[in-house]
Amino acid sequence: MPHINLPEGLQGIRAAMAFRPETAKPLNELVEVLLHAPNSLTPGERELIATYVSSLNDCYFCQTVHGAIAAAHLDGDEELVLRVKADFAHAAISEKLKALLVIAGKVQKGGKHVTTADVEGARKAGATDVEIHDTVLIAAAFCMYNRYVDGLDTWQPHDEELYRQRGRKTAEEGYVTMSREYLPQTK
Amino acid sequence: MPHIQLPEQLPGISSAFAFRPETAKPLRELAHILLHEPNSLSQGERELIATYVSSLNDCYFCQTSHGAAASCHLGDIEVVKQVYADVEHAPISEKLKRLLVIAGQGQRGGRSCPRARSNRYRDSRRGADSRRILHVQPIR
Repeated sequence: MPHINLPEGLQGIRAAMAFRPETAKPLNELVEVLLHAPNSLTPGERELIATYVSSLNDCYFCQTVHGAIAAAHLDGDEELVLRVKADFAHAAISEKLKALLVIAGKVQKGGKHVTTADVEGARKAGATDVEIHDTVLIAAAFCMYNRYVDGLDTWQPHDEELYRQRGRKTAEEGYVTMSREYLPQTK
Repeated sequence: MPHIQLPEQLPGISSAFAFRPETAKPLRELAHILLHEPNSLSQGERELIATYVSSLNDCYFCQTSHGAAASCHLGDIEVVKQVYADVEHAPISEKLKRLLVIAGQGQRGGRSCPRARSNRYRDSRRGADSRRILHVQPIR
């Protein structure tokens, strides 16, 4: 049971967003820029960062739906998503993404945990300043989204096929377009 | 020295906003709705919530700038200091005290709120490190 009277039948963040469309708009626009808009990091790489941070925050809805979106971008490779969550140092991802995941994990503990050595490591692996900026902001933003989803105790059904289907659709259409499915439409 | 090449002379989040205007736009809009637009909670109350969370996160820039905004709205810097030091005894409404408790729990993690630790979550997490739960693994 959610802590407040959220619209029924909507999972996770969708219920909270439908409850308060005014805040949903910038929240969807932010995630659209961070994860879906063209970027030198692929959508799959950025979704893996979001999934990893959500797993550190132990948010079932976010790690599951973003894990599914990541897999959809990565030719359906669900094993890779699992590996990144469990032990990214030994996952089949680039050294650059590993270095960015180190930074993301530090941000999840608290912004001040990020060290100059972490950032130098990412640069040495080929990360640009914009990629480092976006990694920090993805990690910080997902600490917010994860707390939003769990702080209201939203409904999070454990239905793998639901998340898999939605993952494919979101990977294709992006967040702002998908939000029209569940946000009340204004004229 | 910032970790990346941010525009100089802009403090705190302003330099990160100037570095990446595409993400700055929704972030500014979100803060504006949450803290500034008309709401049944006053602007001062909402700035106090933001200040309190920023102090728990030990973020100097955010707690200082939002603390200044709060004291401006409330016409009183002392109440901001008292909220930092001891919410329970600060001269604020009972309602705001209870909301600050929720904000503090949210700062520690979304599941810190006692009722979120319902059987539903415990059952779903029993026997498994949830970080290892494959996102497609059925939960029994």
